Amino acid sequence: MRARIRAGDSEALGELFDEHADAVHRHALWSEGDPAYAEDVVSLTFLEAWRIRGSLRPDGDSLRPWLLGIATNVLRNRRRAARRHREALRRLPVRDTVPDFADEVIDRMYDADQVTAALAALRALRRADREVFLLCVWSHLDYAAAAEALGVPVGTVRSRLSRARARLRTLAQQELAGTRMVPAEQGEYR
Amino acid sequence: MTEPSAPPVPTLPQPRRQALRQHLLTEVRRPSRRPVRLRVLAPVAGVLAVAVAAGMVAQPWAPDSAPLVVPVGQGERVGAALLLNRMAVATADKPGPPPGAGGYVYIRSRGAVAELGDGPARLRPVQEREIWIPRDERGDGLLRQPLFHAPIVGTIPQRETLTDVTPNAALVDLPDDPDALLAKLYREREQRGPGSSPDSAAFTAIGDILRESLVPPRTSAALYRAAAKIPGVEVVRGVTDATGRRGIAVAHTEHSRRDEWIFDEATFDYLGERSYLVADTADGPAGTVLGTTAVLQRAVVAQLGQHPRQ
Repeated sequence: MRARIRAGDSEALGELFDEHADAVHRHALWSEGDPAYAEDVVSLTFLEAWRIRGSLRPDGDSLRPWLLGIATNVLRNRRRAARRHREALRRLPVRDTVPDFADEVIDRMYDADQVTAALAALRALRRADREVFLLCVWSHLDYAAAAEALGVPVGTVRSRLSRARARLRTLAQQELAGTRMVPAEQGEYR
Repeated sequence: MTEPSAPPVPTLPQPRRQALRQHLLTEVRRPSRRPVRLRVLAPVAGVLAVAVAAGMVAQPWAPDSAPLVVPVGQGERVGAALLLNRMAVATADKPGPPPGAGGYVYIRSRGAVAELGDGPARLRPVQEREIWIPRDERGDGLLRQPLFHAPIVGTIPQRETLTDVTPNAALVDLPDDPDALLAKLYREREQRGPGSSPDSAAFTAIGDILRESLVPPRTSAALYRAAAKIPGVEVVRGVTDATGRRGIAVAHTEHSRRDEWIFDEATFDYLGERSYLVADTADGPAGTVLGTTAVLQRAVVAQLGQHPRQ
């Protein structure tokens, strides 16, 4: 698969999309919570993947870490990615105005409170720590894969993850103790 | 206590997924207009590049996340004391909070704070916030505020019962004498230990009281007179709150960050707050807004969760 992608085989890109689009989409939703934007992130991630396919290492296993790394970069530098693929985004088919998520899906699949609570907890983390937490814990990448995705040393992944977990533990304890939640970065609201 | 587990989120609907796939393949098969240049740039601008684009161009899907940069107005020190003392005089004549005891102070506000720590500070989306604070007795309060912009299923307001809330009466139980009031604030700062400078801490403490409590006019006057005595306090004209209302600001600057309390220039009603950088820093250029709020309504209601009659 790596060789085919590197060689510019667009059929292979289609297969890559089939295999990983959902994982990228989930990652974007967890990161931003916005369904319309999450779809853009999916498109931008695969467009970016194609653009930088020459930098893909020829050896290795699943391409998921690579794609989630690109998605993370797109989320981080969304303006730059959008600018780069402005023309392509303009041609993106318009979303339907009818609700996107069938009711039965909502009923069965998730609980809004749970989503909000989990995402709210993540908001309290610094971005770099949150990225590692999302990749390692929610997207199940191992340390090496997350390091590859983010382009940082494995030790950095470990330390960011442990910082993220420590902060989440503190928050959970505060919540149990009934303390008010204060935005992490700034005490703008008390 | 466990860490939050991955919440299930809706998957891409199948037709949409197919449409995105089709779009992708059409795009990559389209002859590129700048093939050579893109190839050369590719490895550099790839996965490892993490520089944050500092562009100010608003993006179509997330208008709230562009850094907001405002003009940094000239602060004026002499005028600050004059303004605050004029405000104190004017406020003393205003009607006080409704008489009677019990109930809750209700405050509705709107605001946005910036995310710090990764390049230029970008404001998170504006959120509305409602808080109920017990008026006299320490006890339960209530906070309604979306904690996270998760329009996955529309806006989900976070409703949080606050326990052991300091009652409004205790918050505004302050000396009428501005010197005594200021001394108390500096003393409390001492007890909290080091952090921001004593002057900045006193300014912040007064700002906290002004923002989310119901202050009797006498105490408001004392707070304004006390603020006038804090070294470095300035007046900044032509500022706006989070809803775009124009006003006049009382400001204090520390570590390149200016905090403003914004008042209506004619009535001296409190409008909101704003914080921004006054110099270029790692968090952005001068003028980058770090926080902005607007208080929309203050009232006394009988029950927790009850809205005031308009």
